[in-house]
Amino acid sequence: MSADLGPSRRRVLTAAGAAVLASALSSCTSEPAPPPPIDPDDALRDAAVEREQSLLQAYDAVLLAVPELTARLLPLRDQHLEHLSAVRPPVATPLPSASASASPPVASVPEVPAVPLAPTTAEALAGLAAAERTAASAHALAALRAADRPLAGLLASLSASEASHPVALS
Amino acid sequence: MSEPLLATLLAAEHAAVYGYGVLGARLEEVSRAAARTAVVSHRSRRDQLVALLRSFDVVPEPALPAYDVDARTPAQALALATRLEDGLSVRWRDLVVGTDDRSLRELGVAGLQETAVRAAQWRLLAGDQQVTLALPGVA
Repeated sequence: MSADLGPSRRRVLTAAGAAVLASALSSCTSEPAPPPPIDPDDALRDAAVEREQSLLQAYDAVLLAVPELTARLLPLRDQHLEHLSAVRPPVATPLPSASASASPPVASVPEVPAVPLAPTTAEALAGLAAAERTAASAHALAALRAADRPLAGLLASLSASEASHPVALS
Repeated sequence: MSEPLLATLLAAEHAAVYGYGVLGARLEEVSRAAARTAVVSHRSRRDQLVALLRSFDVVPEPALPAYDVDARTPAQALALATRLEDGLSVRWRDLVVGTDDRSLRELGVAGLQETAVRAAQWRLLAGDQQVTLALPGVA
């Protein structure tokens, strides 16, 4: 009987279903595991690093434009370097790969500091003071969000330091 | 438990209010206005801490009759003011690190900012080379 020569309709459907299921299962196991969720505290650290780098760029721009401010600004700039290494302590550099050593490790900072090349000393100082206050507020907010208590304390200290910098810039 | 931290802060604010009373009289006129502003701020934080402790059903400790502070010259007065503010910075930071409560942390951050700014003002008036700290509140 012809009906026995070929597979029944039900068998075909079942086999197809099994194939789909099998491929779905295999795709589950063969695909790489999704990356672990980003630790919110890590994001806070990254943002703090970016703020410090922006401030350093702002200081460098002013130092270039108004060199007579160097003695006054360098101690403040140094404190931002301290902030940077406190948030992200320099780690032992991993073995550089060929591609990594080809391009110099220049940190890219997305936000250009809002301090233009200031024509006057007063404007340059006022611009830096404003940038410090903005960073102080952002660090303060981050301190409230940090899950890790020592990180909260560190961000609070950075915020307080930057809140106090305008005193030296006035 | 943040009550012990708040109690320690209250004790430090009591001492600061007393200390400014001592040092204010020794300051030169140019610095005296800053001391008046500072003592108003410390009284306000003190009262806030008293209210907070009461809200936690803790009886706030009153101020001591006297504190071991001394300032005989304007320079000593500026140094004492700086020391009081730097000391308070440590306490306010302790509060930040010692709590997950958002409003208490906010209070701690605000207190730390205020004391760091005032300490910088005092160092500026004293003619110090380094006016600000990289990490206020870190003892």
